[in-house]
Amino acid sequence: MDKNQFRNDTIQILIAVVILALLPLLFRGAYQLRVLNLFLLFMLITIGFNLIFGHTNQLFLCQGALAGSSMYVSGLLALNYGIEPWLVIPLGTLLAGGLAAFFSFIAVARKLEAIFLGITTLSFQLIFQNLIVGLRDITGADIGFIPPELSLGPLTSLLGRSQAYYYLLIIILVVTLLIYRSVMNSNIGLALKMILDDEMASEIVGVNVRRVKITMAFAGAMLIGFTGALYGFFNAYVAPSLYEFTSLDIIVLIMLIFGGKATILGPIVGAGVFTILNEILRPLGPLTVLAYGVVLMILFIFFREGIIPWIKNKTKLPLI
Amino acid sequence: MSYIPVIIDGIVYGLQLSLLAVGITLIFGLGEILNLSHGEFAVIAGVTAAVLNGVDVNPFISALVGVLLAGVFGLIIEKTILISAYKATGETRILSGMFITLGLGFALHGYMANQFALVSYSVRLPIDTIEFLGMVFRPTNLVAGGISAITLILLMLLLKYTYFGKAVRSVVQNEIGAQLCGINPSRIRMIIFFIGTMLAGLAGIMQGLSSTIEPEVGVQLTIFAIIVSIVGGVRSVTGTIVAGILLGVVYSLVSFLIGTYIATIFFLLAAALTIVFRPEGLLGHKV
Amino acid sequence: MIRPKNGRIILDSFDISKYEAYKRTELGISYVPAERELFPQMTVIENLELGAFTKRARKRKEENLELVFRLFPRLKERKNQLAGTMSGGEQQMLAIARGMMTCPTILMLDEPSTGLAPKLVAELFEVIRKITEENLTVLLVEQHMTQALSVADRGYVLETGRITLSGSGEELLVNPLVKQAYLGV
Repeated sequence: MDKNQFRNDTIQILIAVVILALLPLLFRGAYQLRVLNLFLLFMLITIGFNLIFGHTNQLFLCQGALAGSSMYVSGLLALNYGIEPWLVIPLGTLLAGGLAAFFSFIAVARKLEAIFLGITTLSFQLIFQNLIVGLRDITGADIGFIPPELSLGPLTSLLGRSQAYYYLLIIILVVTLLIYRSVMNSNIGLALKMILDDEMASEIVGVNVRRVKITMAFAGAMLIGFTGALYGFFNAYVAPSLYEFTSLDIIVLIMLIFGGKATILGPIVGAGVFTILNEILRPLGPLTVLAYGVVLMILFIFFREGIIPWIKNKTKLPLI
Repeated sequence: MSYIPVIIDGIVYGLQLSLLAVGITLIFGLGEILNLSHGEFAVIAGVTAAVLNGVDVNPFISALVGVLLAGVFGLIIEKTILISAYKATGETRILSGMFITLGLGFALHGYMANQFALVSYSVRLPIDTIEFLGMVFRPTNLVAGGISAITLILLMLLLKYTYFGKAVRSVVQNEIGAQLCGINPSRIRMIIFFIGTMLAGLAGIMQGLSSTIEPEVGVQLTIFAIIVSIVGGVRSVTGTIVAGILLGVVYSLVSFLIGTYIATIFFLLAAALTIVFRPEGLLGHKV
Repeated sequence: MIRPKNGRIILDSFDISKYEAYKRTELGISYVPAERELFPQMTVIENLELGAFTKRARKRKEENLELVFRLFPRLKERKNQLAGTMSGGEQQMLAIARGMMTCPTILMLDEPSTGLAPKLVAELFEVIRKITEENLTVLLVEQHMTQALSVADRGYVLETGRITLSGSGEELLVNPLVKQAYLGV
């Protein structure tokens, strides 16, 4: 729509992607590459969560379950029936999207307040965790299972496994951000801004709030599901601890709040800061949870708006 | 016949959940703060009482210290970190309250799990088991159930008949109206936070009395309490108590017949289904 | 509560502009808003008892209760009915009665006739007249000029927030400006 806005968006996305693409040249160690991959994986999940919570205020507290159900379905199908992983990942992705669309549909149909949608989805997250442990024979419970290797074609032989995953994730990020940018600059983007501003008013002027919300939940959860499956295959070992509320949902939530809801750069910055912090805190053991708790409190007491909107206010830079 | 002890266990467990959940119900009803750290107060009190009891302090005094500690800590929280949530209104307040208490819950959970790792705590009475009509009962279980039931009855009487109780209900129903009567809502909220966290503490101690309490169990207690509160109708104390007992019995029976994980799933489903099909809870809106 | 942008509110030479609503009630200002703000899921008697929440009012609860039941016999009949299930007129009566239970030195009624049938409006003003006979200052904001002025000792005409005219109730009733502007005569 707005040409300047469009160019501004493109430049910022380009800068972000170039920086991200150069990182493996600086950090070459096996551990460092693993952390870089986690960084991108969490970033993509946070972007997905941003589409749902950031842009349409739908409080989903089941990112872990969405990512996890996608991985368990695709991973187990690939493992037990010898199906090519790339053929089953779309199934898992669709499942995640479908589940989220279903919750979103219930929320708009029953006019659930954020808090009740939060509890409903949190219940789903915990049901998922219990099911994984309960269906021991299928899922391997806490011991988990080893999914077949996901073939990344010539990338692997060219760059090695970790770097191959990293650049695959970069490609996914670029595609996601490009779609994201065009959507934000379209009529849907306008509708989203109005919904965030005043849901009732936007409905009166003819925005189909119901459809926008369900679509965003579907799209966001597809991204979460797809990334969640890649997370499992990348990790080469799938256990419930990857997708638990404390190990995924809460971190993604903090990344989004810290970065800034409803921004494009927010999830990127948020994921960066907290991936590093996560690595620093890891040796603390159970105290990591304490640290995250304190961070969450501080964010919500002093820093509700997030870093990108904050910088934007202070410096008047047109950050996206 | 073997079901009777299971049902009694369920009622005792349900009463403990009710003790926890009435705090959530009252705190949410008064100030729209869904206290996601509620279960941690139970853990603080339960572990404190058990540790004191373990070094031969009288069980009654241990319990009293535990309950008071939970309540005073609750007061401090209400007057410090929750202020920023109270300052906000509408959805912002609800979300801030939720996330601040979630953060607090995690912080306490991390601390307790680290400090008192992998130990089960219990509060013990001098008697072991009693036999009645050929069935064996653990008196600690009955004592825990009795104390919980009496406390809940006292709470209901307090809310129904005293000036303070009426003031609490008035703020829940209409805060502006309460102010017009000369009632200070922040003061009522503070006292209820104190009472609510003390009740949570008592629930933790009762769990330590009837079975054991582990420092890691706080998150689960919080979630179960919220579910009970939701099934009971979020703003109804009577509904919360009924829901607590009902869910406690069903949980106990399903655990006994099928297994704990199915029972937990059942519990979670109960919350989701209530929200979707009967958002006003079991008994409808009533305080 | 909306805080004043400028100006002050003085009661008995105290500046109470910054006081919260509950404090004003404690000090003896009873405000009965047009929205009534009752406790819908409590009985009539519970609503009235809450009116006497402050220490000062609690001491005189019994005599105040007697007074409001004398003024509003209907409330006595419906003592145990839930406030939310009563008619609009009855709710208005209850709101005024609850206001009186706070033992005020000044009772402020904000458009009490809102949404009431004409017959009820007449009844309402009759009660307001009786209240003024109970040695209680009533500050009444009303659209029904004739009836309001006929029960008032003093009247003030406000235009866009400023007092443009004041005088005794009878004076204003016959004032040509008032007649022209408000009574449509």
